[in-house]
Amino acid sequence: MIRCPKCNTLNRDSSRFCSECGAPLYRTRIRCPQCGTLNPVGNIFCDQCHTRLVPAEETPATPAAKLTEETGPRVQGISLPTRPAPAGESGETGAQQPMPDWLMGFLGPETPEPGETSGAVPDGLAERAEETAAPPEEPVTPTELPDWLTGLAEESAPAAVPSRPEPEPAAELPDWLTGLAEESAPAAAAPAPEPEPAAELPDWLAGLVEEAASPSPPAPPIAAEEGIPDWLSGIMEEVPAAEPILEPEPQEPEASLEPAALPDWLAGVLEPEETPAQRPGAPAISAAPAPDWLSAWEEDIEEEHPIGGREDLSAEDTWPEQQAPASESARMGAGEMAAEVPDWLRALGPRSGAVAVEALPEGLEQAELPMWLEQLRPPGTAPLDSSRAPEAPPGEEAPVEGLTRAEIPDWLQPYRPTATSPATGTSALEMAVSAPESEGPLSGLAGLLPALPGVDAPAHFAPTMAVPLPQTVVQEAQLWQQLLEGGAGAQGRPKPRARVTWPAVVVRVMVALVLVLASLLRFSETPLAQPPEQPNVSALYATIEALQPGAEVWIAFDYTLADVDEMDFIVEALLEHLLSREARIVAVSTLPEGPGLIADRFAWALGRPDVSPDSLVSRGFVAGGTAGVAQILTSATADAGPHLLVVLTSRPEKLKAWVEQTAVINGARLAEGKPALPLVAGVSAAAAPQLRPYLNASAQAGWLSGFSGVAAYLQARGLPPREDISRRLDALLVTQWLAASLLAAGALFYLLAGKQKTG
Amino acid sequence: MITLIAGAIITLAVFSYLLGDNLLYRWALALLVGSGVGYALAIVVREVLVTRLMGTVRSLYLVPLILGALLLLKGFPRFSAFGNISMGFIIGVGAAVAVSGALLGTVIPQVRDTGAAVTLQGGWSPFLDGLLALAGTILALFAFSPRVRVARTAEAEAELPRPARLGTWVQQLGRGFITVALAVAFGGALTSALTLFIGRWWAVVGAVMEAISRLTGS
Repeated sequence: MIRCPKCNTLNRDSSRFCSECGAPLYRTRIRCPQCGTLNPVGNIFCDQCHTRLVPAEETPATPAAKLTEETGPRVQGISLPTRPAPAGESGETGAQQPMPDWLMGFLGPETPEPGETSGAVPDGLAERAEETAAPPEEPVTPTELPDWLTGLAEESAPAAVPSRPEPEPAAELPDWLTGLAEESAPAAAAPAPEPEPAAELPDWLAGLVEEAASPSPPAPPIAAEEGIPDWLSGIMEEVPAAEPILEPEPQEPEASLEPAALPDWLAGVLEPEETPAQRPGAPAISAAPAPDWLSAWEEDIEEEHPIGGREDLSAEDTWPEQQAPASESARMGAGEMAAEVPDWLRALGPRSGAVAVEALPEGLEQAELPMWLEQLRPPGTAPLDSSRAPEAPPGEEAPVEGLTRAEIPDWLQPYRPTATSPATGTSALEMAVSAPESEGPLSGLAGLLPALPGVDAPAHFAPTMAVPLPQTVVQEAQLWQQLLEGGAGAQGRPKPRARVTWPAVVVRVMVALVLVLASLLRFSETPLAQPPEQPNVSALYATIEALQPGAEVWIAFDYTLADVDEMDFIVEALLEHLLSREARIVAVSTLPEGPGLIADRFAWALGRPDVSPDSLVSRGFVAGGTAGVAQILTSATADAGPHLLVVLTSRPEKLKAWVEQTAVINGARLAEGKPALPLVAGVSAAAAPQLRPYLNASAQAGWLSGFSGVAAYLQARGLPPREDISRRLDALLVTQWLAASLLAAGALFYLLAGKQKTG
Repeated sequence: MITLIAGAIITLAVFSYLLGDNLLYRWALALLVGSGVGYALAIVVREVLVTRLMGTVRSLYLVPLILGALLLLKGFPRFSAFGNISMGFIIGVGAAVAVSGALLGTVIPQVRDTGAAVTLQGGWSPFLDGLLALAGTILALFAFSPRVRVARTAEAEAELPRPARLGTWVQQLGRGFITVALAVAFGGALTSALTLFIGRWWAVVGAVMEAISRLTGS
């Protein structure tokens, strides 16, 4: 049975949705290690590939309860989350077993629909259910029955008077309930019913009746009355012993060879076509000797119920009435009831016998009521107290408790996992390395493979959200999913090449051609661009002009090869002025390209007639970045120090490093009473906007940038404008206007196109 | 002559990117990167290793030599821990130099000059210039303040309390200053790029003219 996690309703094992509330039911199954198929709990072999799911190795020779105490409750790996164990459950064998299939058959073929929970209840009990629908108003005590049970007892009290001619209500009662009634009925005071002709009995029943007619009719070994709740005990106490009660267990245990009645672990072993009834080699049911445990049972019953013994059963035809529960048989006439075997009993055949043998003690000992009877229990009554259930079967040495073991015929014994290893012959106790199973059909077996739990969700299961999520949350989750999927997929994929459309290429080429023509053509003989007045350029000129002949000037070549076309003009303008002042040039660089640039510019300077090679010194490349800058300045200012520091760079971070370290050095020099080292700079046009604050704050000696700065510097020196510089300035002016116009046109087109698109 | 023609060809190969990503562009790019890396490696070997270590071995350079050797062990996972000594030395020294330089060369001069600009000693024009720089600096700092609540819509702004609205306006002004600064930086980059563009095309035209003059003999 599966208990619904939502409404706590018991559902059949095969149910995927709750019969009461429709909630999806989850079942724990055993996953086959070979093929992965989910098998029902209790399968020994896989339904799909016939792989053994449970090893047939050792079983503990010691009682399971003892081992459980030593090792603690073992997690079997098979858990039924929808059927939680009740509080105080001791985990006895079978206490958590679901209702067997044979018992489910009594509930009717269909799962009761919501609101029709008593639909599967036999008719006789359905009336009881209707009568007992009202819960008792007072708590149930052992001495006082609730009203609903009192009514039930009153109903069953005139059992001697046949109130119903139809025998089927009693017939549909499950046998375990029959056992309950028989437990409560004084068998000695119950007269045996009139025997009926045995001609109409089926063969399998005939064998059973023969057993029942033996001198010692066995009473049910229900010694666990204390395991029955009070309200159920009340039923049994109120049932009058109007009729002789004979227990159904005289049926031969071989009747349980029917596959449906076998334990689950044997269900896979026994194929349907190999049932003992069809198997030629199998022993006959009636001819099979009773096992030892049954013999002992019969002896006990004979002592307790001498009247109901086998010798009192004179004929086979008395068996149907003896099978009927007292509460049901009391409401029908004995003769009517025993007139003939009903059809439903014929249809059940040996299956009912299996029920009597296997499930009756189990059901009573573990006090696990079927669903339909559980629903009849009033809300105020206490559930079954399984803690009072008998102890676990001690093993093979305790045949009375080991019912499961005893009902296995000899020809099936080889298939059963034995406690003794056939290879070594050693006992299971010696071989046991792990705690045995304490519950379920494999109870008592050790060394089992750990079961892989798997949740079998119903097909097309779509969980519904109890609270609808906001749309923003859903969109955010979708976005995260897209990002995760895209990010995971984009890592291993090569970056797709940008698609080039011909209109875009045409536009691009046209823009380039316009700029090329604007840079090459000369639109006027007179320069279009005039260098602006720049105070920083004037300060630079004044600083260099103030140098004394022979002054040492350090120049840092910290620009890259890509900026040579722009920086060369700046270097030439400053270097020419410095050389004209007869300064001693010391070049250094913190970039690997620096030495080559230094050599190139020195070669240009040496081409001038008034330049001596001794005035040009290259210190080459100094590694270390900012630390290298500090090292250069420290070594340069160790003695008298340079008179001027010129930084030529196209990279803002380089100028920042030079400015900062110069400030540090100047602080030390000022502390020593030495003059500060002036710093001037020539930077590219791209770096000028970022460096302007540094240059204005720290390079008060002056600085220049780009073509315009060079032209302004030449103009400040009073030199005539150079032809190449003038032409480049004109080209720069035209291309800048063109570029600005194209950018504006593009922005306007983007705005208009975007507005049309949005409109 | 050869260098001029080679430079012109490589320049045209780079400009072929106007037609999209192609083999010529990639070839020119690989040539530029490869030659730059090779040249830098050669310079380092010659300027640092050969000149300072092999030429005249000094005991002072034994320590950096050992540290450099330990740094090579970073390439071997088993012995990479030994390279941490060199890495720690480099990072420690670099951080010390950078922090002191940033404090003395950037923070203090910038604060001093920003405050000094807001004076009336040079007249109203320098005063307004300095005041604008000071306001721009403060507003730009507010633009990055995470405590200021920003209302992106008029409705959201209307729901804000009055002090919060003031913060929104201050932040918008700071963003305006940042936008202007970025536009200026873009203008400088465009100017520099056009300068290089002009220089390259002039070099191409000069190479072509030189080749023609050589071929014609004139």
